[in-house]
Amino acid sequence: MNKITININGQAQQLAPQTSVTDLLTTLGHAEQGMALAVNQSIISRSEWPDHYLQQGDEVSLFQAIAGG
Amino acid sequence: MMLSNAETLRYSRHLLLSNVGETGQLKLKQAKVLIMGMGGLGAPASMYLAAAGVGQLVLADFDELDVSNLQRQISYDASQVGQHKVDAAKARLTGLNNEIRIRGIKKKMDAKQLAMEVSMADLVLDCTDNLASRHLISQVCCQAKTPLIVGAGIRLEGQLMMFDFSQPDSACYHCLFPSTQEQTLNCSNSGVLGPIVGTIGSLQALEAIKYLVGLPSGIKNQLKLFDGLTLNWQSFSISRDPACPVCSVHE
Repeated sequence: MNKITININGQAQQLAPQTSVTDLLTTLGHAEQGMALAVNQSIISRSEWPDHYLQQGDEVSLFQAIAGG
Repeated sequence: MMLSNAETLRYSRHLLLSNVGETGQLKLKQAKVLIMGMGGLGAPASMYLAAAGVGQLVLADFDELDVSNLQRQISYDASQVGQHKVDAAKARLTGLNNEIRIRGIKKKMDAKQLAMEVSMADLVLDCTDNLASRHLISQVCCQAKTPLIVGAGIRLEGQLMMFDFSQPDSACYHCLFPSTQEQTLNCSNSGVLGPIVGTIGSLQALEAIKYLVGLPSGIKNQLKLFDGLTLNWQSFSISRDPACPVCSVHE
């Protein structure tokens, strides 16, 4: 099966086609709590994660809420 | 309403700016800003807003000044350790500008009290240090349609965003970070460099002044991430989550 290549926080990563944001986080083993995720500089809402499929060349940014002040 | 001679002298550098001028200065004088949290973000933010002549500042913090705060909370003095932060801040800000009104709230506010304070403010700055407060403040500001400028800092990273709840399409903090489960990154356990919160708090003040005088925001419905190692900024657009239980429930 052909793979697609995306960038996660600047690191290249190969994925199967039809990988959703939720699938990606499961693959990476990330806890979802307190995380936000952007694809190509747009934040993807949590409710859209299961249905948002990643595309070849997507720039994914994954980061945590900061509480400090 | 006009500026007094003393005000004309004090704010002369504002009056020279075409996008502030006397009209903008009078808007600042008539404005009321609620600052939630008087730590590393609230300290510089409140100093800049007091210096700029924001007519009414309400400072909310239930903490007392600890010696470990002095490393970054630059409006305080070593002699004030042990005092309530809002009392110490009020003394400092009054010394800076006695032509403005400053009120302190030392008690931890519940949702009802917070809603009352927010409804009386033109603008709110979230300078708190925990996620539970951040979620509550965003929710209350969303309901009251009061604009909110959120800052945060930890280690060598900063986050800055603005939600203009007076606009019907505004996203909210919950759209971005829906989890209300407390995570563990805060200044007490992760550390922070003083200029990180200084930078973010100063930018909260900048955006506040711009909003109050009627200039467009550079961060509306955006998240800005600051990397203190490289000094690079990243920008992300935040859209309202149609499934958000906080800001989309009233639709």
